[in-house]
Amino acid sequence: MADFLPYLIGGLANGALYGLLALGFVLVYRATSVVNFAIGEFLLVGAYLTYTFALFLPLPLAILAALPLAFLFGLLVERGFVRPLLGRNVVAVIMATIGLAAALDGAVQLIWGPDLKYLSGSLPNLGFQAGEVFVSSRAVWNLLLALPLGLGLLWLLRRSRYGILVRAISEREVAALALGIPTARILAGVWGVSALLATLAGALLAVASGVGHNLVFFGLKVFPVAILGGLDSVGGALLAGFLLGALEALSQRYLEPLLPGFTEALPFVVVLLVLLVRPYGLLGERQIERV
Amino acid sequence: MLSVENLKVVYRGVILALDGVSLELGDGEAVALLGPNGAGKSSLVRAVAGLLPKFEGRVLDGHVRLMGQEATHLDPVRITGLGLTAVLEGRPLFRYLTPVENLVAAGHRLSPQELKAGMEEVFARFPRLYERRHEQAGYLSGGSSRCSSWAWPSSPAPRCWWWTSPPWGFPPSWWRR
Repeated sequence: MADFLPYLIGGLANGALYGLLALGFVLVYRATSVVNFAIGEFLLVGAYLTYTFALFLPLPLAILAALPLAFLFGLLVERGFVRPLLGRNVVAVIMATIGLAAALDGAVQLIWGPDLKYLSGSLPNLGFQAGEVFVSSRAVWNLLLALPLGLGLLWLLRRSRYGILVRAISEREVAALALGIPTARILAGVWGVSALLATLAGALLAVASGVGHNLVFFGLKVFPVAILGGLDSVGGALLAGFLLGALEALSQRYLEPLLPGFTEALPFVVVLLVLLVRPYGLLGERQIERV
Repeated sequence: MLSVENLKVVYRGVILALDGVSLELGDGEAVALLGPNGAGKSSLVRAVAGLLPKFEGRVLDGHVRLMGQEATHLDPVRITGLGLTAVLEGRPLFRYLTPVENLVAAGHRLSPQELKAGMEEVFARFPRLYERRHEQAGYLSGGSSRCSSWAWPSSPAPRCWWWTSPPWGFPPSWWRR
């Protein structure tokens, strides 16, 4: 057990970031019914923004500076790509986000170049020794930022007036409009928040492993996480993030010696199982049907 | 209070739904529009409430005036700001929200105190709704949800309500009251 704990801690550290990213992804899906295939690029852009700010600011400040800019970026994407297409064919919006992903990939390479970069500066070291187990600074930071932020957002969505309006719009936009709810502004805000979460995840990843194009692959994990948690469940996304992180750690420790490379495929095996057994995910809601 | 003048509405650029509709509604008056399916009752409501773009329709001709102001091409947010609330046909509530949350959504313009007072008023009128105020509205009985659709537009204190279909199906107990 003791030799498994370090794996688990590392897994949960990853899981916290999966959770953050999936939270934003699911929030956008619920509010606007858009599957955002550019979520990995949101993370990428966020990481590069952090890198750029870190060139002349201490790292914690650089992350703080990147967040509002990321929010703005989310607003711009909503305004430019999503709003003109809302209400059209679902496939049209999905294709638009795929196109956006490709465009952002290209733009990032044009601006920052193709090679792997490392952030200058680092976050204060919070790693500690707990008995025989060493808890890395990375794990502490990830959990410390992701958990309160994720839970806080969930609380806002459940309890705050703004959260109630978001849920109202996500259920029936026309009815919300008829009540005079400023749907366009609120939906733009949701995209902003999603980009902000992705950027925080990107920044924390960048701290640990540098900034390069391969960060996009981390973004791909958002699909298994969202499906495991339930595509329409924001709380499920956070939970499933941690769960998948822990599962990956388990697989890394116990399955990797038997089935080398299996951990890479694990998230998608999980997706297949979930879709077969429980297609609405762990916490997804079944529709209320009335005839 | 509300005047519609010679209104012409077209969907998708080709489907003519309304042509030359006029209507005058004064303070304290109630007007019922009767007609078979497809007569254009809902289209008129959508046009007045500014919801046509959501249905791929638009006003080609004519005017809507609300509280003396030109409101023909205003967006729904401005129109409800002038004091008109449209109650859409079908199940009028947000099913996944509780009655309390439904009222919060409807009263999003109100200050917290006004919202609280409005909610108390609604629940005083519909005690059955109060008992189930924290359940998802999708599970309310038909009668209860009709009640709340009645209660609904009264919460943002609009001066003009406008139903796409009348709130039939009120429970008998309510009519006796």
